Amino acid sequence: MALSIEEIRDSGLLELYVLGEASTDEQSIVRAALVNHKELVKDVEEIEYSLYTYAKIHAVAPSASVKEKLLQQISNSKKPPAGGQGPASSSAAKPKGDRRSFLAPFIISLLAGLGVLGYFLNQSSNQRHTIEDLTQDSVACDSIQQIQREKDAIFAAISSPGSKVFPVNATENFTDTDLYIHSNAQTRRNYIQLLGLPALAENQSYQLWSLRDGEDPMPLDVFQGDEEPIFEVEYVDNTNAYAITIEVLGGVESPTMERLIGVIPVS
Amino acid sequence: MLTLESNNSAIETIKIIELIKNRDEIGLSTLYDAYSGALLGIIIRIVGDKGIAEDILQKTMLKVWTKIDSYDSNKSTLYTWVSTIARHSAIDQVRLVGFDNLRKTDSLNVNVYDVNTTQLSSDGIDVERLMSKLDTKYKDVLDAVYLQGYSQSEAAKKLDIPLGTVKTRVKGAISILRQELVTEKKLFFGILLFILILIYSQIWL
Repeated sequence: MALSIEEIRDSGLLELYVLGEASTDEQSIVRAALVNHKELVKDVEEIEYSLYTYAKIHAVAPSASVKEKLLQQISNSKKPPAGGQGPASSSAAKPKGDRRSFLAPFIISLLAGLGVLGYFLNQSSNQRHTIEDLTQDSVACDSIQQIQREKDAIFAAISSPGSKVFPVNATENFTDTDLYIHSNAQTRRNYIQLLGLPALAENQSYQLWSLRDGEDPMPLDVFQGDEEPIFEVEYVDNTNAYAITIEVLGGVESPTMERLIGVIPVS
Repeated sequence: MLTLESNNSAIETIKIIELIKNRDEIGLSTLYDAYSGALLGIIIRIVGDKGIAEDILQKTMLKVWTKIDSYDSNKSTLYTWVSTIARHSAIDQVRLVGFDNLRKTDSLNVNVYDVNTTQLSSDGIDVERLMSKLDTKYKDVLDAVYLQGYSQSEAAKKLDIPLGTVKTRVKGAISILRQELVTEKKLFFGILLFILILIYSQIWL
């Protein structure tokens, strides 16, 4: 289902798109929206101009030599390669016999040289590929280690003293919902553990809310449910309960009560 | 003289693109004059070293020179395209060399940041007023995601806030900038109109 202009604007997708942080699916949604809603083109231009201005405010002047080197480099790339017409025409003036006697050892040396050069280039290329492969493996290992460290940190956090687990009270339309909040008032951190959630439409997100006595629900995290099964969410002091709803993509400022999935009392 | 300084004028941008496509150095030179400072400001905050940052800036401009045919003006403005190349090149460099620790540019900012914040920019924007409208919590997130090349989840970790909060604050920060820039523009044209009326009345009275 295509998103409306307001849904696109509220979702934050335009900002992600300009920042280059949108996923492939999100890029497709934005591009389709830009074709269908010309008004959004102005939004994108304003976002781009805002970021351009922000970058200009934080500009750093490069050394003068950078531009010189750059222009020199593109100037060199435009020149024709050396060894074109000149040497050929000068050699044409020499007697034929001299040229043959000079060329024979030269060609042999050249072929031998090319052979050696080819061997070393091949070796160098192999080594470069090996280095690239190893670098990629190393990055992948770092990434796996990082993920493991994050999981360990979450496990340590939810097992730490003061951490309590609060289950969801699902509403009658969403009885299959199964999730927990691990809350620690000492460290002021919350983690949500997702075990079962109702399906979302393409233009929807889950949204978490903080409920405090005498106050309107406070909008918190917005997520798609395809993240890690347990991840950190915002902690709000003096919260009596957290609630979770299904909202339009990107979240809203006030909860839609018809799509209230459940409430998680924490006090 | 061609310039891209003022509000990314569409006509000037088209001329620049045409010049670069025609292998005219003036095109790249103009582009460099307009964007190099902003780009270096981003790159240097990602890699944390001015020498390396300048190399990446040079490579970015060379990529623009050689890949200009792949630029699609329907997808983004020229600046966004060029800055995306610069940011990705810088992030690739950091990941390749693994000097993530150098990305801590807090000390670097002191030298490069305050230079412009108390001045009017060349677009007539009151930088000090603009920045004062941006609360620290928004500025920190925008700096991390836009200027320092952190992904949103990396920024969440760096700033010790949940990912959802990062997303909300990025959107909030850009909304504030947009709003303030629109106000700045109205103010600028208002003053301009006032001056024109004043001059007009002086001539006729």
